[in-house]
Amino acid sequence: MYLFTIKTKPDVCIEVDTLIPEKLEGLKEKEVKNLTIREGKKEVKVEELFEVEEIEGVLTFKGKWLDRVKKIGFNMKKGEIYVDGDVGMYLGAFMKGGKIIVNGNVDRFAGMNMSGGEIEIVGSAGDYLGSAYRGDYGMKGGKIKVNGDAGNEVGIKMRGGEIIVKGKAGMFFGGMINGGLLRAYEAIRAGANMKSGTIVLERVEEVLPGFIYLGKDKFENEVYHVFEGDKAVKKSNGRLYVREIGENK
Amino acid sequence: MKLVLKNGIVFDPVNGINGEKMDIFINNGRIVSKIRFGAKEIDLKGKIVMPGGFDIHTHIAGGKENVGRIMRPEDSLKNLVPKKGNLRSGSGKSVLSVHITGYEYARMGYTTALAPATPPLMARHTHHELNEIPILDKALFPLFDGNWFIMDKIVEKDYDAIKNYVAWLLHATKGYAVKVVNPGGTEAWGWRREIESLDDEVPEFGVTPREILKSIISAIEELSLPHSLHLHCNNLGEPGNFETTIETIKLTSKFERKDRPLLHLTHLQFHCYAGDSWKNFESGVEEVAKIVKKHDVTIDTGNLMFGDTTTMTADGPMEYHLQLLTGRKWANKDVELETAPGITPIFYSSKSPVNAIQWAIGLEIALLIPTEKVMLTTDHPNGAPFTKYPEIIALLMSKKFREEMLSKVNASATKRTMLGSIDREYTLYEIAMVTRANQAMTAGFKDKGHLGEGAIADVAVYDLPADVDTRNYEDIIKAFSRAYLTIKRGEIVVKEGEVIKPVSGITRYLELDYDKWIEKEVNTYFRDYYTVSMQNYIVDVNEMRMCESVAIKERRCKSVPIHN
Repeated sequence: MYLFTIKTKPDVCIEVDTLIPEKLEGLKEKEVKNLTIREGKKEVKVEELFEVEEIEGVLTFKGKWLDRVKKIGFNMKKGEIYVDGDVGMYLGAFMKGGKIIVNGNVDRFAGMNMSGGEIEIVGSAGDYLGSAYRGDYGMKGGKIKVNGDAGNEVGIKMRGGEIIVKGKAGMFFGGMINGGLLRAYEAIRAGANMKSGTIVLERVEEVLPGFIYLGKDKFENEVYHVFEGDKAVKKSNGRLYVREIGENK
Repeated sequence: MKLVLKNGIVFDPVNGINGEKMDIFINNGRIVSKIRFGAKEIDLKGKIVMPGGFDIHTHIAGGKENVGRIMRPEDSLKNLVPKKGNLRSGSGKSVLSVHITGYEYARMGYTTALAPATPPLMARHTHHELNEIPILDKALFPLFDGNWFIMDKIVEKDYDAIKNYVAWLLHATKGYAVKVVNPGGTEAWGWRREIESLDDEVPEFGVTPREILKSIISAIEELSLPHSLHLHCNNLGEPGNFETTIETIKLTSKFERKDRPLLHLTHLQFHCYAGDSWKNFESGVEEVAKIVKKHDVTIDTGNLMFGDTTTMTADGPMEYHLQLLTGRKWANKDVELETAPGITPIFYSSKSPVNAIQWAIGLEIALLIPTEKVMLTTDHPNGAPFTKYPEIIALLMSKKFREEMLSKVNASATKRTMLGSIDREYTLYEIAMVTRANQAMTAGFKDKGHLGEGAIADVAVYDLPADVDTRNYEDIIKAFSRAYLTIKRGEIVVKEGEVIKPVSGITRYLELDYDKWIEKEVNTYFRDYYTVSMQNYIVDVNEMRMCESVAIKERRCKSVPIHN
């Protein structure tokens, strides 16, 4: 596959939704260099912004200014992408299959409307991780793992799949979900307006008033407090597992 | 610019030309009989020539389109069109943004599209939106359905005031024809009531849909408007509504025929449902077709095609009920004193029995009703986006395509409609009728929809042999989705399916006489109820970028047959 190294600091954000494994498969280095990507509203060739090199192993993005590169792995269906560094918005959005590993942090909307595949983030994620595209139904399948923290509104309107955040998550974790599994160490206002699905938290300051306490139960061999809700929604049967409730000391 | 289109096979139903090889001469934006010299010749051997396409009912501008655009960002994402040369960018698959609406229509060989539902208060906005749509010629139809003034005057039996009000409102909105949506229904819904038949009363006003229709039809006939009443009947989309439709059509027998039909029923597909619930829902086209044949009405089909789309009508209650069925997002845009359009997205699935039957009904209508009364529309974007026209044309032309589709969709389409037993296939001449000639003639655009001498030079050329084998329906779809040439008022705007010259379109409106005293009477409504003043309500001609007017000499009828 190919290694893309960003040359200089771009003035505006770059969109690289054409550089996904299934489109690069079988292309020669010269053809890859001539593919078009977007720099702001302009269409430019890949070689103007990236150094392209054929390497053994997976499709790789490298460089200091990757946080200005959007839409890595956008709409990707198969193959693997490795990103070394912090990246911009829409990583793996609308992803249908394959795998992305990010050695760094990701900006907002990572894994948006994803329906398959896997994303692993070594650092932290921004807001709207695995959320729905505005107006649309949300994530349908696939798996997102974050080693660090995540921002607000993780997994909004999710219908299936899995999001696991090792660290803390922000507000409205798993809001409006209708299926799927979300885990985090801590979150604020988790499960607001959820209809079904599962949220597992290690600790939380307070549970939203729409949830009913069901008692203690086991989730993956560990004992949690179990809540059902959010009863603000008709016919809701979502499960919220919490190990510890109370203010942070 | 002088042009000669040589050797094309011409289909021009208005002039009775059925597949003849002939030359078309264009000079100064009009069709002429001969050009001696200095004309640019284009050889169209093996291609078919038709008048420019005409769409009588398409929601391309109005009060609710922007609500749809705001509400459906995920729809915009499905079709992103970047800026290219002198063409503007745009987005949207079912609610397209203004510029690409014009481009997409022109690519299919269409040159005219009428926006059929504008709340009068939103007329200014609509005109500004229409200004921005390139290439197409346009007109707008203001809505009269839940109008307080008209309902009050019906109670007072002041029919002269209604007539003058119709003329005044067309003048104030720079409208072209009268549109009525679910007469009385929207206003009744505002009082938490439903109108289920023509004789249900609108609460607080005490008038019935029957009275509203009668008074508006007689006003239109007295004013001799070029287009008849453009009617969206009551009970849209309800199982068993074909009876209401038949009742409505029968109303016309009380009027005298003039030089054109008395009533245009729009998107008939949504009004031809039999059965009494969604479980035994079936087609009622046969009964409706019989009545349509007998009476002096025209119809457009409102075909439904499978896929994701946004429904938007001025029929607020219907959208509310639809939203309860689908559970998806919904918006209502109430316009004071006038109407209340609703918007909700919908996915028509070929696996759903109801949707499959609706799809079949749309085709049945086109195949069972005499062609001279039929017009092809999808009620864009309610049945499907207008970009699906080529597929519908292919379905009408090819029995093989229909059979293949029937085998794929839910079996109810075969069981509960008679689509499978219809052998009829449309000819190209008939396609030219339903997509052009009938539409222009019904709308009263006498200088459009044909290629006779003096007509506006709107021409569409398709790369399709005149004796096309209807089994190769993919060729038909391909040819009709990308016109070989589209000529708009004598200028080539589309070449081989790509827009090359985005010229501006012209909006047509009526110039009417009305008695001045009506302004004083209407003004009391502005003073008492409206949040705007009458001076700010009237749209000025200067607000239309390019416009042309049709002057109507008011002809007063002596006999008013319906009121006594």
